[in-house]
Amino acid sequence: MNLSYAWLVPLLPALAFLVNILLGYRLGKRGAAYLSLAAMILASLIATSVLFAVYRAAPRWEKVGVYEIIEFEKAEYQPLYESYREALQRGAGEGRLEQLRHNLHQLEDDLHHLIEKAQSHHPAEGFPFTSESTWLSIQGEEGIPWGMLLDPFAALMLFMVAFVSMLIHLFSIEYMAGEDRYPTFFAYISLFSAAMLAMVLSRNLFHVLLFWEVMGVMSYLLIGFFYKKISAQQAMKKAFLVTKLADIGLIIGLALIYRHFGTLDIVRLHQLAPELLAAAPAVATAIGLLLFIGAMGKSAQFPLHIWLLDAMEGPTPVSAMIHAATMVAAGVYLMARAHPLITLGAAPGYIATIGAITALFAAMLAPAFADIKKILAWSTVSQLGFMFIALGSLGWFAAVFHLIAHAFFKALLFLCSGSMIHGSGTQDIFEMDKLAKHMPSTRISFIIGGLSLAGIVPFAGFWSKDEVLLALKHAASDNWGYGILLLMAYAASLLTAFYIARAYFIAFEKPSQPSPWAAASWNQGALAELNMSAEDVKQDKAHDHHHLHHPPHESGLYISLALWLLAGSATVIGLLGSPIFGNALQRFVYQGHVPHLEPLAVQIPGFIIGTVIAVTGIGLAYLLYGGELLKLRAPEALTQVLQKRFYLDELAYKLIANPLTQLRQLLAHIDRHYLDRAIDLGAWLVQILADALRRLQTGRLEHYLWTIAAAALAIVLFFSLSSSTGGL
Amino acid sequence: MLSLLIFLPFLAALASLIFRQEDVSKWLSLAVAALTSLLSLGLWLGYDLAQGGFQYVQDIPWLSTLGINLNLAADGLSLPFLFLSALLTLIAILSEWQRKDGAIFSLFMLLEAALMGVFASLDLIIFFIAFELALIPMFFIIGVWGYDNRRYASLKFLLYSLVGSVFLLIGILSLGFLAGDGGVSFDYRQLLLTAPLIAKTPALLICLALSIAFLIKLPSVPFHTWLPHAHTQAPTGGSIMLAGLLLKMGGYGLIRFNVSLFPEAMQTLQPFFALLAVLSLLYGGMVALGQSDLKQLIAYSSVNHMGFVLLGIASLTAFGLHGAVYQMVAHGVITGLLFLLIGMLSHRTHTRSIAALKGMYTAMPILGGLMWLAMLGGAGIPGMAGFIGEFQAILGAFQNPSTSLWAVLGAFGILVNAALMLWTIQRVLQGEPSEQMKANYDLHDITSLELLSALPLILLALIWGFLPQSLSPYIDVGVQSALSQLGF
Repeated sequence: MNLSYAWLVPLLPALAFLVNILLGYRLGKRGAAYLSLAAMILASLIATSVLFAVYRAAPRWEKVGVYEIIEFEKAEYQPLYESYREALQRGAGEGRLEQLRHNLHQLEDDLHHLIEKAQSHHPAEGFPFTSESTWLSIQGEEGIPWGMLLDPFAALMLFMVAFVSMLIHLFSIEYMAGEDRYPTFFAYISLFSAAMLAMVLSRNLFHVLLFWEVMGVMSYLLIGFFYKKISAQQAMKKAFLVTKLADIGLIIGLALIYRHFGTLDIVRLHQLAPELLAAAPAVATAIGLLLFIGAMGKSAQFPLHIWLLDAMEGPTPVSAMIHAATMVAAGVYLMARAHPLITLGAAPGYIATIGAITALFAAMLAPAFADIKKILAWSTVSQLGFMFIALGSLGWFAAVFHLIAHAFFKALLFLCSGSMIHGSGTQDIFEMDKLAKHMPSTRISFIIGGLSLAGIVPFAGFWSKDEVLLALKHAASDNWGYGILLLMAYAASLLTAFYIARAYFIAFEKPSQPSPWAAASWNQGALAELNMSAEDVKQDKAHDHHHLHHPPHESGLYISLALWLLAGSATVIGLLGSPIFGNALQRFVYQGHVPHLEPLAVQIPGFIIGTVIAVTGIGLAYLLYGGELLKLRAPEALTQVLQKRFYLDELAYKLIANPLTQLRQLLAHIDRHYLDRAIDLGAWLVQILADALRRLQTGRLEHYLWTIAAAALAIVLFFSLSSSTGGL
Repeated sequence: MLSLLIFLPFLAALASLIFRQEDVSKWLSLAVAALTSLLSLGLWLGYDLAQGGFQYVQDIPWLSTLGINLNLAADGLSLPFLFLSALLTLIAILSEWQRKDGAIFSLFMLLEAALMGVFASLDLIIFFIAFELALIPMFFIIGVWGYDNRRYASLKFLLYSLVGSVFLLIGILSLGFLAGDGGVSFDYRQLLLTAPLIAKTPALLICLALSIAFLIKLPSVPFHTWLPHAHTQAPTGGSIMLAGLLLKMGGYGLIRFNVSLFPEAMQTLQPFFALLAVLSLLYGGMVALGQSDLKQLIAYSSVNHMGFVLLGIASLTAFGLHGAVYQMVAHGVITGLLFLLIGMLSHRTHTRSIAALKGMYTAMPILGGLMWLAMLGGAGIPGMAGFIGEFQAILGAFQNPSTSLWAVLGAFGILVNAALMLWTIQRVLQGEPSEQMKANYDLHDITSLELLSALPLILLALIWGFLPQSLSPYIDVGVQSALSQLGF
């Protein structure tokens, strides 16, 4: 089967970008938007057809058979493999190794039989679908070929990204209607989607990096869409540079992979990884950590999360784009793609730890903010932390599941927030006036998204978060360190339910009130280094496009349609991955081997704990903000610390940006006044010498005669002396 | 055919001198530049990749008794530069089209002839003559048509380059005598066989002498201080030629002569080159961050970009050398474009001071948008040629264990460079122009002629950013022959 037409999925929005950037203003406002939307709709349809084609071609697994395989692996295969690896590292005798290898082969045969039995439908020929062609060729090396890898993971991501982006396009048509640079906006988000779609299809890590960087550029341009605002200028620069810093890790990681494996091709890497990395755990660790550094930047993991909050300077649909379908998803995607390279070293422990710190840290900050977009931004950081916990606990599917579920419900929440801002004219939840009364459709969408985020059955977040925690529990059963992470994850879950319920109660149920923290979200972060005065900030803020003063109203058709479609699909995709429906999603999306499943019985306790935690969080928020039964408020000092984001941004400026600023001035001074002068000094010395020598050219004959006579004498003396001593 | 590339512009320069008519020299130069562009493109496309090696060989006897002949040929390493020489000359002429003075156009022709000689000659003496000849038109272009401080800058450029030339001449002469196989030979093909036979110490010394000339030209820190002066003072066309081609003579020379003829000595000098590369990347970038003159800033960013070239060369791996050449081509196109656009900007504002500019994108959306694109290209965004070159240089340097650490350090050059370009974008393009600027500057958007002259460079930067298969096979053929000398 030839699935090369899958390239159309990124190509169509890329073409829409090209047309819009070149001719957008000729097409007229609506024309440009509909062109982009049409390209995305077509791309989504193609992505759906690709998904079905891959589904038909992929092997289908029987649930029971998979349980058997997993049981067998856990009980027999893994222990033997571990002892083989140990023996290999210890440098055991060849006889012993041979014996182990023999046993291993036998078990592999048994495993093979089990796998045969568990497959009700065998993979079609050519599955997974790949293609390869020359791109950058170097003799004697693999170079960088161009290629496509279309396995269930890629197909599902392709579908998710295309679908969510399409809805964001739809939403933007109405939301951005008042903007002058409407065609430019649509050109940018189309290319943004195209880059993510192309990244998902690429089979060479270099192209993953290439499209990853394209996303970096597009997010830079979109965050700075209101480029006349100083805060937007700072934010776009910060986002680009922080992620670029992380990219250095990724670039070196790729260089290390190429040096070790001689290829950057994902398919070949998956084949080579077990063999080549088993004997070199240090390399595996280094690769894992370097790739993780790259992912930390894109996916906003502590301490490289500092760009994400400022990124709220972009229009709301951009935030939805960055936080759901693209950009932050890229880091998780990369780690999931590369997981065979990562799992063999010591990196997973670090990844899970950073993930847990991020999850908890961001969930702590979210309740201290009043700006709905910033609350959601912290929420994204925190949820990404959960995904990295899963990756670090070797539950790569759990991470992918949570990524996809999160993409749907976070896009939903961001678009809801856009609708709220659009309808009420403010971003501050305190200033929003009983939105429940005025915006019923937005309210229901927000509740669905919020419950999903909080982890309430049966919404997507419930199933996916549980999957993450399940992976973490598995890891904790082997290593007590993961137990601490589990507790942190529970705490983060509790706070998650709390902050989203808080936002809901204040924005939807409460009448408008003066915001207690109106100024707090300003004059910090990206603006900290500028020391802008309150007046400057106010002036800068005047560039904001919304700030209409009218009573709240419900948004129009496009916005509501986008919200409803997202709410619906968020729920469906969660159910597909739930054990109630036999983990259909897991049995479809797997990498290379067998999907990892747990029977329902194992998961029940986890479901109960998760629900109790979520309900507690929501209840707490109700007590404090909804019914105001508890008149308890956090102490001023704590709020201050939280709103200053634990002073991390300022620290980054003080420790990195400012010294570099001084260094550049110093170096520029040295270059101009010392290094360059030293060169001039050389020229000056030559001049002095020339002046001195010129004195000899007196032009007077007797001086020359004397000189000639002296020289003749010297020559005669020299030769007579040398002939007397040298015996010539 | 290759001799046409040299003699056509040379004759055009002579003809303009003889006729001394402004229009004649303008149109003649334009026609010859366009013709040579097509011709060199044709040669490039006609190059037989399967066969490889030197093609279009022309051996014209000259001072045969001294071993000096007009031997011309082209291979995958030189063809992209031959094409760029013609194309950038064309664009430089267009950028100076408003000048009322015909002499500058004949100087561009002379410069093109010299550059063609540099990239096409297989005889080292001819190479040296062409290498020197390129200095003279540039000296006058800067010194006569430059900005206020042009005399100092042009003299510094000339003298600094001449210091390098002395070493180059010494190196070439000793090479010709030592490797002459009994007599004297300056034929590159002959030297490829005999140069590796030179004893270790003289080989190292010759290699070092050549390196000095090429490192000054590249330029690498600490030999770079002539560049900012020259760039700042040069007129737009001069800057385009300087950044696009004159710097490339350094990198080209290093690969063509140092790596190919002295593989062993280069391995000895490897750490030294890697150190200079990282210094250029980081120090060059940081100094660029401290500049207040737009042209000077781009000039220093060239030092940073050339750091990647040097890093790739220092790696002595296929990937690294390939990346070095790719980066040179990319830099020629992108930085050429940047200087072209800055020329248009300063033509309107009569200032190059960053502090006196702001909101240029709002004022001139198309010109501003193109500058934005070019600066991002300079920052190495994917989809433009620089990204591929930089990545390859780093990957190649990392591949070789003895330069791995330098590759890691050098990678931070990417960040410095990105910061530099982004900050410049913020200061020059973003925000809103003040009323004073609107009143004082003539802020009309790009004209058709200007757009036409920028278009080829934009297209090439994008094509080589997305479709390296149109460039890399040629580079590969050239690089592989250098590598075969290294014994890999």
